[in-house]
Amino acid sequence: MTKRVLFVFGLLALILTAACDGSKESGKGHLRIQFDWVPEPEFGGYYAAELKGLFTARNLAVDLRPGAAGTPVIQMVASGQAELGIAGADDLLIAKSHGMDVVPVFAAFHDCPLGLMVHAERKINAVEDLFKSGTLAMTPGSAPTRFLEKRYGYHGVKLVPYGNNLATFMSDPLFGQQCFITSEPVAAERGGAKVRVILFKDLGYNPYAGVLFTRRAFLESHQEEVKALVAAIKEGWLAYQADPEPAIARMQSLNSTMSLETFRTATKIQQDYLWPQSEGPERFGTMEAARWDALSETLHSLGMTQGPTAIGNLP
Amino acid sequence: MSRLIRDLYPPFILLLLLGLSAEVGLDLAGVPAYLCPRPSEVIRTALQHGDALSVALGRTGMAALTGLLGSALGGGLLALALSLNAWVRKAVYPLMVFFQTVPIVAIAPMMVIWVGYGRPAVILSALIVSLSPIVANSLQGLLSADPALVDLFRMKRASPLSILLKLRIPSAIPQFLTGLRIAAGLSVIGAIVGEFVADTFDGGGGVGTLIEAAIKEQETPLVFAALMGSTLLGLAFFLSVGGLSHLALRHLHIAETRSSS
Amino acid sequence: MPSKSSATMPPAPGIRMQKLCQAFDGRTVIDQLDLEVQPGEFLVLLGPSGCGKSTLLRLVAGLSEPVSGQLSLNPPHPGIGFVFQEASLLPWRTALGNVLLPFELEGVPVAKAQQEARELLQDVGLEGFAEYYPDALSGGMRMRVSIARALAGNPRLLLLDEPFAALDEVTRTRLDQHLGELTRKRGTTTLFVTHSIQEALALADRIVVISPTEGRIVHDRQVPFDWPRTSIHRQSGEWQALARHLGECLEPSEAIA
Repeated sequence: MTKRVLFVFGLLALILTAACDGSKESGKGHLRIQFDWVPEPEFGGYYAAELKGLFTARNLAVDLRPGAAGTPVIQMVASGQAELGIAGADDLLIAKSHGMDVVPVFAAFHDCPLGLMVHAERKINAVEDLFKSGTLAMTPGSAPTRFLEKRYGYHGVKLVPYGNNLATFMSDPLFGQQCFITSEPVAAERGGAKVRVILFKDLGYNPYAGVLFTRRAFLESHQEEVKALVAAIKEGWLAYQADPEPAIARMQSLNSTMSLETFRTATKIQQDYLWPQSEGPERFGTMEAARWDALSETLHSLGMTQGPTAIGNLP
Repeated sequence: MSRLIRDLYPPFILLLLLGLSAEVGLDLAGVPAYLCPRPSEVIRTALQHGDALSVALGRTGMAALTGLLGSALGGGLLALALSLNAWVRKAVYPLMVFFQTVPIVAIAPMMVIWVGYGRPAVILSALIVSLSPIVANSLQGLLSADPALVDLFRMKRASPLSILLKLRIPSAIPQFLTGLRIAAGLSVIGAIVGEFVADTFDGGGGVGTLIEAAIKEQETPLVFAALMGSTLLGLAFFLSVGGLSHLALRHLHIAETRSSS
Repeated sequence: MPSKSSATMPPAPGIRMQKLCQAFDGRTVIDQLDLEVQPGEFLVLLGPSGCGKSTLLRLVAGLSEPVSGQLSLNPPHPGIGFVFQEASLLPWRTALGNVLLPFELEGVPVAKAQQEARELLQDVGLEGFAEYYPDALSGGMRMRVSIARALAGNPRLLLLDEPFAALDEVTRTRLDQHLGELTRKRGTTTLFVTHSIQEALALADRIVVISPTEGRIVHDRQVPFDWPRTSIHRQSGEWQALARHLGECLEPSEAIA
């Protein structure tokens, strides 16, 4: 009995020290990038960069860290558990308004890939109709939820929490839900449903997505490294667009619940939301200050920030 | 009642001391507020959002209470049924493990299809999560009636119904109440978890969706305030059931722990 | 239900056991036991724990079936009262409520049951305590309620399984006296299990010693003292000699003569 107790305690101590080590400041050149989801095509460019040796070629020791539902990426970066992270532009501005000094450096998605998914058969004359009946699964307290409330009002629709809604969607023709363009619509159609997606960007809400960000203090003390990192990531995305297969294979090995076929479908669909083809590849991932300012105004008008939040000078 | 107040003094003092040291210590350690808000800020936020919090907690509490009553009734009846037949008991009891370990998140889509979103799903969640201890404890109580008394009833050729009503069920009351005490706290947890996944929000929700929204809005002091409120709710349930249980046993002249009479 | 008047009372039963065998989990507890109990006799089964005395009592009560052998009561269906090692009262009922239980189970009309139950409480010396709950009664008083309960319906056969073992010596002696009087007044056949030699001598018309190693009777002795048994009896040489002899019978290591 005593031996077993000691063993358990020893194990716990080991785990705790390992966990604590993980949160300390990493050594020079070690860049931990914290993702906000499991490895999926939305991070394709990062894995492509890693596989092609684009990081090591620039002397960068990069650690790509998959996340999951509810990973507090912004807090982790703000408190030093990672050097960089991925989040949505709206979450970053809200975090900034709460005192976290974060700076975006790169945006994989020029256009927001989120929207509302409803059954194609549903009779809708105007978008307003979606908020007058049936059920809608949204994330409570999120900016899109507040945005739609302000723009259309929820008059008669039942709002329920977003998450694990596919079975309910399939069984209820009047069920609609928030969706990520490469995910739920694909799964629903594979299940035999005909869906219609109304993108948030078409309703007037279009924040940057897949935004790579860091702490201002880190950016200021590692300017050259971050610049080199962003260049490598940009190259990685271009490589992913040219030939996604190696990165897909790598991601699928890390996330085996999704089939290779699904990875390929998602890669194809997300193309339209990355850097626009018309703009030319050299400025892939760059962001405009004006768009950040507009988002800041929107969030302020929704009551989600205390005042307009400046994101600071974009590098 | 005065004994209850006397029992609450020590934890209250401890909480006060912890709160004060956190207030000072967090500042000294330089922990930013967005990571861990100061107790004073949490309390201030709680007062600021007092109305919304109490309404939400009230809704959650009602759902938890309804779920608890359902689980008390259903669990009691189930334990009764299981106590009657050894074969049925052996067959069904391992399935109870399901109720003990099922993550509500996983069965939420099913729940929602059965009873719909909103209060019904939250009540069902509270019921499912709080069912196990009632069945387990009540069953044990029903099966552990004094064997000498069972012999006495048999010698007088009492009908099985007589034995059930006059001996087994009254003998099981202390164990049932023990199960109910455990289930009380669990019902609050079950209600909140149910709300996380299956409540309707935007005005009509309980504290679960309030917490979810506060997390998404990055209102950390509100998250802590809501958690504090939820803990107090669970504690209130636990203490109430404990008090009622104490009164009931005293009224029935049954000892709280099983002792030979 | 027979009343207490001796005119209508059925006779106390005799018990005959022939080559009685009982076993649990493959272990033989009672082995080819022969015993004949006379009607109205107060017989003490004496022996250390685990020798099958309780098992024998349960066989007589009809609570279990023997593996083999005969057990018969004559007349065949006497009312049986059983007093257990613990009082085993229902805590949620008063003393009166507990004594009323057997009447309820037999379907006796309420008024009659109440009257008889109160008389029984009087018989065991608890007439002022009818409304008391078990948690307010001492161990000895609870046991007296248990005896009153066992006497409900005026059973002709009384079985007691070490009823006073958990009580202090003073209470025990007092209850022994009380019980001895009650059974002799009612003329019941009584089987009393104990491992106390003094108690056996204080109560029994006849003492039967059962050996745990053999599962059968190794000594059967009439007790030569009158009732009631006083301190004169207790201090007599005959009592001491008998006690010593019984003590030797109970020693498992000695060869029994």
